[in-house]
Amino acid sequence: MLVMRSLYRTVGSGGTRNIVLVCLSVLIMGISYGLAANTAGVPLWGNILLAVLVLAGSSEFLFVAAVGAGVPPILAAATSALVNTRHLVFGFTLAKILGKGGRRWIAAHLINDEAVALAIAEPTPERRRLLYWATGLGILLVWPVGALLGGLLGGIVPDPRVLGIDAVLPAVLIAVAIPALKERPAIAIATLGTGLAIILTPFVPAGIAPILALTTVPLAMIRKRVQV
Amino acid sequence: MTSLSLVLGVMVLATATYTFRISGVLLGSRATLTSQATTTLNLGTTVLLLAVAATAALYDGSQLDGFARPLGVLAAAACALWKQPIIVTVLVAAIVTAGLRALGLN
Repeated sequence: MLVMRSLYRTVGSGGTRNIVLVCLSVLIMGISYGLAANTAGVPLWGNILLAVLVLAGSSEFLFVAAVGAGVPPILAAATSALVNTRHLVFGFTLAKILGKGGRRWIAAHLINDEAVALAIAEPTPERRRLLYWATGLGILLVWPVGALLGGLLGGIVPDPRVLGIDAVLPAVLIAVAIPALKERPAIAIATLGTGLAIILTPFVPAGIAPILALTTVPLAMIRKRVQV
Repeated sequence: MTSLSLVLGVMVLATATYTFRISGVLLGSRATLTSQATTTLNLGTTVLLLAVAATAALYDGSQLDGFARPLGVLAAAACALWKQPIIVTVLVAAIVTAGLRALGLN
């Protein structure tokens, strides 16, 4: 409660509401992940272990799907790990917010799309740090809980696709990332990068196309230099 | 799939993922960045998130997934551009996707 109150005081009702909504969406995605793990034949303890120790949704979806299709878990892990290469970029971006102390070793585990997106949209370092920790810890709680619920509900609830749950992940990312695009050059580069990732996806291993989208970002610097 | 091989797989994935995360953090804490570089880095992060969203909307692995989810996510993107609250954006994505599937469009 104390945490919630200080959170509310610092980031306001808007920030707190965003954190709660993002965590709620992640809970729903966690349930659909738990269902997928159940369908793939991954035991409940395995899916919870993945949810807590990996804490990176899309790679876990890929891992359980591959294991369910008969791929040996070690191989499935190697290909799924590629999906998480982007966390290196996120870590680099967040380094200044997370500071130098020992706590950053814990903070690093909480790096995920949603926490990063909410944090970098904030104007001050203090607000960024707070939003990052609050969202990250919230997800550390709701993702495994969702995975547990999904695992237990397997076979009882309908296919998440019928409810459009698979559209929630991209929608949340878009909802939290788009407000950061304020200037026209940034919008142009984001469009270009996203288009590039879409075109390249069929030709590269899973998770690599978004990294290749980053090749459009230096265009922002070139433009600035021309202006000077 | 034995329990042991599953545990090993989970450990490999968890270790690799944590290595990516902490390497980024450690590298970033050593770098001294100008404010322009920081702005560019933030833009890169946003591009990365949107590229993840777009590919997750369109593809199931490396195969195109159909029309319902991309259209649902497109509707969500329109909501986000019109500065709708997150809850509206997310609900629109799910409702449009589910609705189109109910109508027989996959």
